[in-house]
Amino acid sequence: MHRPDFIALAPLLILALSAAAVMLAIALRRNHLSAMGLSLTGLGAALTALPLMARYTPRTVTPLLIMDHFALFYTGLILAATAVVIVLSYDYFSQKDDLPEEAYLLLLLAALGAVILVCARHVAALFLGLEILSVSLYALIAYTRDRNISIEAGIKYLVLAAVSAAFLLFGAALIYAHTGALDFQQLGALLKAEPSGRPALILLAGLGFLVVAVGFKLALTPFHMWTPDIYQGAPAPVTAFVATVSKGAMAALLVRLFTPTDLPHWPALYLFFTAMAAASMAAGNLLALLQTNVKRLLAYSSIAHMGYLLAALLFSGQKAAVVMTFYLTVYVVSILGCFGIIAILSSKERDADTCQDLQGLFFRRPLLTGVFTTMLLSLAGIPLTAGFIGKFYVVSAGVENAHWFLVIILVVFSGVGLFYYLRVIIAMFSPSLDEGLVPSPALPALSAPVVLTLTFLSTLVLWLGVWPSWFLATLEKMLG
Amino acid sequence: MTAQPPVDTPLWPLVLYCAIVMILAAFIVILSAFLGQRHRERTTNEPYESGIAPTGSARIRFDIKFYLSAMFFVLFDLEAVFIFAWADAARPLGWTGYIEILIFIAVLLLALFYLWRVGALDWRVEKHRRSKRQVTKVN
Amino acid sequence: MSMMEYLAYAAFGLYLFLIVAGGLAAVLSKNLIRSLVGLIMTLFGVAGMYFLMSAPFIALMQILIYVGAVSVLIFFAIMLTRAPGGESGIEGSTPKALKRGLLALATALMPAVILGAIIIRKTPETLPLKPETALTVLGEFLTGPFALSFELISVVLFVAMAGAVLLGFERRKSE
Repeated sequence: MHRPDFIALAPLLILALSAAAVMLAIALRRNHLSAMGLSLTGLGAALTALPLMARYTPRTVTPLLIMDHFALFYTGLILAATAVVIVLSYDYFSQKDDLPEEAYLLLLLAALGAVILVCARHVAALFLGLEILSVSLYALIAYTRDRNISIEAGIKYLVLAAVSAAFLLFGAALIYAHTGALDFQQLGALLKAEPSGRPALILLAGLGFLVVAVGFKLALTPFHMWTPDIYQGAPAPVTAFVATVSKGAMAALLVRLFTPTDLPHWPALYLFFTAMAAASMAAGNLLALLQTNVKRLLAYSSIAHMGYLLAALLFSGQKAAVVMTFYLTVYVVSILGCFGIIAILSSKERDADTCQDLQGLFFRRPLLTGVFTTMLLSLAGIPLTAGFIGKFYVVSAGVENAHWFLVIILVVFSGVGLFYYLRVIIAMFSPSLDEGLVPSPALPALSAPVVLTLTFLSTLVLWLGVWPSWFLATLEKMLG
Repeated sequence: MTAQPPVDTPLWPLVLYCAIVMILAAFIVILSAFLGQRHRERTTNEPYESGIAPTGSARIRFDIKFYLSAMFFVLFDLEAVFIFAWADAARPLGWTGYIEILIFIAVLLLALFYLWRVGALDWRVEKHRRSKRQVTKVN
Repeated sequence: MSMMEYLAYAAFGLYLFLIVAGGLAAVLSKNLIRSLVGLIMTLFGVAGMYFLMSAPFIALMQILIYVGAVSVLIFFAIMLTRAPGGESGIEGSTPKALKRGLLALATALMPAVILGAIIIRKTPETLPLKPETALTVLGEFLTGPFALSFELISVVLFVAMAGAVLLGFERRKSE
């Protein structure tokens, strides 16, 4: 390891050091504000290190990690999303009785795991990043220990994530037994040499097990059962983190793993991926129609969005990176906004996640209603929001390459999806049913940083929806 | 654990030893099963407490501190495994290897420091903690 | 076959028996503690298999960590989650026998079919056993090309400790 290696690794090292600093600060003198300030400073320092690192990219640092522009962009996205989650969680966790500072420590470490995932070029790095991310999430999901629903969500996530990690290891072992390579590059070369019509059964089985693990993390059907319960049970900022950073890192890994080898277009696997994408879109949208709890609704909708993302991977083949990254960025920003609003409105005992909590929000908090509406419209894919541009790109890629079945499914179920988003928006704009009879419950006071962050996020959504060309050009330059 | 060249020792003493151990163990157990007394009276299966009839159940509610301590043992045991792996090659690895193992140990030492300060290693009962605090407050 | 080969086959058979018997005991016994003992037997058998694959370091670490530490952890978890009334840990309600049987069959058939097909298609060949990797070489790998993964392992342990404290610890109420 030479000096350029250390500079290329700078974001990772800074992140790790800031986690250590936060732990030291908690051990020496427990203070909520200083823990949050320290973690935000660490994230900021890691973000500023990114352009400095850009001079040395692309660079393979140890056989495990590759720091190229793809990794750079996704690292930036992960760090920014974590910063937003930390800002959101300050007010949320200060209501808790005990130990609010550990959340920042675990969020930083989970971000570290996610960054390792996006920089990975070796199965060992994949596994290490996944484990660091997962172990942090086990504790974060069950963070509000006094709520039974959080502990239940924590146990469910623990069992399922552990089983999926076991599947990952076994799949990697089978692939290694056949090809002798654990490096993504070597693996790609050896897989290209494989006859795509009839690949060896051991290789197929290994890839199948690997896809199980990836599918679990991305919450694709039929591995999606955990998503609604975890989203509902976890504290709102943690749900925001799981929905954005955890899924985003795995999606980035999916792109890195599957695009060089053109794997999704192997006949054996193409059918499987198509079925997964179509089933996710269908299941996510149809099951969300039945939900009254906003968090569960957003959970099912995120299952559908991951289905759209997988469809984007299948449509674009070699050039999937740009389309998927744009869609993922839009998705991350929108979901952060949605769960941020829920976090702001939550009280100590429970999260503000039913339609009752949101009833008549327009008359009490018009700004928040505006933000939430923008985010929901973006998720639904309405023009003027970034979500529309994202979906447009995915559909146009599909039409270009004539994948008619999936395009039709996408369009149909996106239309179906509009209904449940509208239901939440209507609830916010309709006046409370018992107005005047019963005084509405007092909403928690709003803090300036959170409101500023949420306004910034909604401005971003609108900007990307009206004028996406700058961002798209930057993405094509970086990833194309 | 470096690879040994094959040596010409005979193997039959080892096999004989294993066989003798197993036969002896089996012999002791079978013999005591045959020769021992068999009781099946009213109080045969009750625990012996100096002739006094037992009251209540022997089970108490375990404190979760036991589980935490076992957890910390697992984690530090794993650390020890990696230090073993480094230690055998300590000399050939030179200063670079030493710095790396130092970083490894430092991270886990920081974790131990955190555990100590948070009080996860504190097994005192609440009463003792309170009385200690009163003593320090008076001073 | 020479004496060594006989012994190798005998050892393989013994470890196989330990693994399968332990597994069956773990799954079939009504008492949770007996399941744990079955699990320990299986872990010993796995350690034996590692010895047969000329990985003595991994085998000894398996015994040290799995049998020595993880089994104790599981035991504590069992003791903690029992009712104070002293029940003997008999499992709760189970679905009807037919449904149970079908589910068990499906769960068992899936890996059996996949792995069986793999083994039949790719006929196993007897390869000469590689010479055992000296521990020195392992250390050199860990601090050389895989140095970063070495440090990341410490981060995983660090995270696990923070998580354990967070979830299991009852904070002192005052102070």
